[in-house]
Amino acid sequence: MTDRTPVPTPGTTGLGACVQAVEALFHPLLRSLRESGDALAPLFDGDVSAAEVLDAVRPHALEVLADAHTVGAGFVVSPGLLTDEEYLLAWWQGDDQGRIPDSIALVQSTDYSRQEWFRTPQRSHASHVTGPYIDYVCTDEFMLTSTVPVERDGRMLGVMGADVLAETVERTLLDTFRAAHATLVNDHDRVVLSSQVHLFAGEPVERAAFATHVPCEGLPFTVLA
Amino acid sequence: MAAVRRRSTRARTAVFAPIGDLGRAVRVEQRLAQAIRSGILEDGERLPSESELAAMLGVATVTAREALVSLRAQGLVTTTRGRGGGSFVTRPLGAADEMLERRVAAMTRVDIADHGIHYATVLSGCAELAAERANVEEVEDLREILPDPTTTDATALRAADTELNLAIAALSHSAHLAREVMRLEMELGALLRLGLRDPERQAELREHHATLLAAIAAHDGNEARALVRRRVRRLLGELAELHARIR
Repeated sequence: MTDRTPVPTPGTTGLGACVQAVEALFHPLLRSLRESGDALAPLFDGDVSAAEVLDAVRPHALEVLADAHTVGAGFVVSPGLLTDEEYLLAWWQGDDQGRIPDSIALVQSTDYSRQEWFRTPQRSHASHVTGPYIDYVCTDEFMLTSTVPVERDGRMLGVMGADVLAETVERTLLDTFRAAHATLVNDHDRVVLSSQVHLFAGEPVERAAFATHVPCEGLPFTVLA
Repeated sequence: MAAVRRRSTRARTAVFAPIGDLGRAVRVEQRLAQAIRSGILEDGERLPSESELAAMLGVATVTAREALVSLRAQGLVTTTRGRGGGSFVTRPLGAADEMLERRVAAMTRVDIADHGIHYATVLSGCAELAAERANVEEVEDLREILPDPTTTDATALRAADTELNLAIAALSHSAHLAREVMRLEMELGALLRLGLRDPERQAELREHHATLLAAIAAHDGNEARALVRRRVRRLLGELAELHARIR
């Protein structure tokens, strides 16, 4: 999709530092989601109810939330797998780590299977980071949602995921990107953050206008300069 | 640029009293810098010309010029060319502005863009509705809100600009919208108007007011909406520049 322009000594140049900072933010998070998902998968070998899934997911979600960058975490079940509910967002968020309001209406009417954070890992069988986007399903915040597919014997059980505020990404990465005069974009060519003061998160950019493109390993992000 | 009101005569006299020989340019510079920082010379005020300044201070014109160059470098003086041009005081920060700038510094860029998109969308919608609906008398009422064309007082310009936005929102005939604009003005308006210390920004504001009122008077809703969107986008860019400098 993009050329990896050779960087003289990755990690020592400004762009290398940018890539490293992005990977340092998301790789541990995705690893933790993958571990949680692996641990949860056997739960679906037999019949399972929403209450059983909630009980099983809770400690894993709280563990993911121990990463100070995250504001929400949980497991989202593939529609139709539970004995009692069609949909289930087993998701915890906020300082009190309470589960999101799971009104009957939300549980029954929200078909999240078309959401990018569900659909993309389902199709690619690989982890994904969605956003920045306005998460109107849960938080109404400008968010980046990391999700990994949880699969067993070729069956998609759901996604294990975590939310990071776009503001947190900015706070964590902006100094590094500013020093390198770099811009981070996602695979939809939307800005994640930029050293250019007039370029805001969420805005579309012309990738071709940048001379250097450095993709981030295993992430839908590219550092442009 | 019009004459500026004067005050505090004794302190002012001291500012322009003859100066001794030693390190003259530096002393001229220091005295003026102090007067600007302390507020004896007001923000936006026009300084005497180089030759007037030299005569008042009892130094050579070249010495006055040297001092002005240094003041410009410190951002305490802005010089504009041409008719109505000259050197103008740009006071670093009023106390209120300082507080606002601390608020800007505490924001993230995500936050600035979020507020800005909201503000631009609501205000441009109001301008569009106002253009569709305003009658001759209402346009005249808007004109009366416009700031005194001679004033360079940032506070007066900010107040007039805010009131104009509220009056335009009222022409939408939606109380919800009017209240929303009031809320937005309190939340973001003051931050977007920080730049109005600068004479160039002041001229842009007047230009914007003139074209916007012309569009409203002509019932050109599309033009009114586009004008407001463009203007807010520009102000947002300037706010982002400020943020990058001070965060």
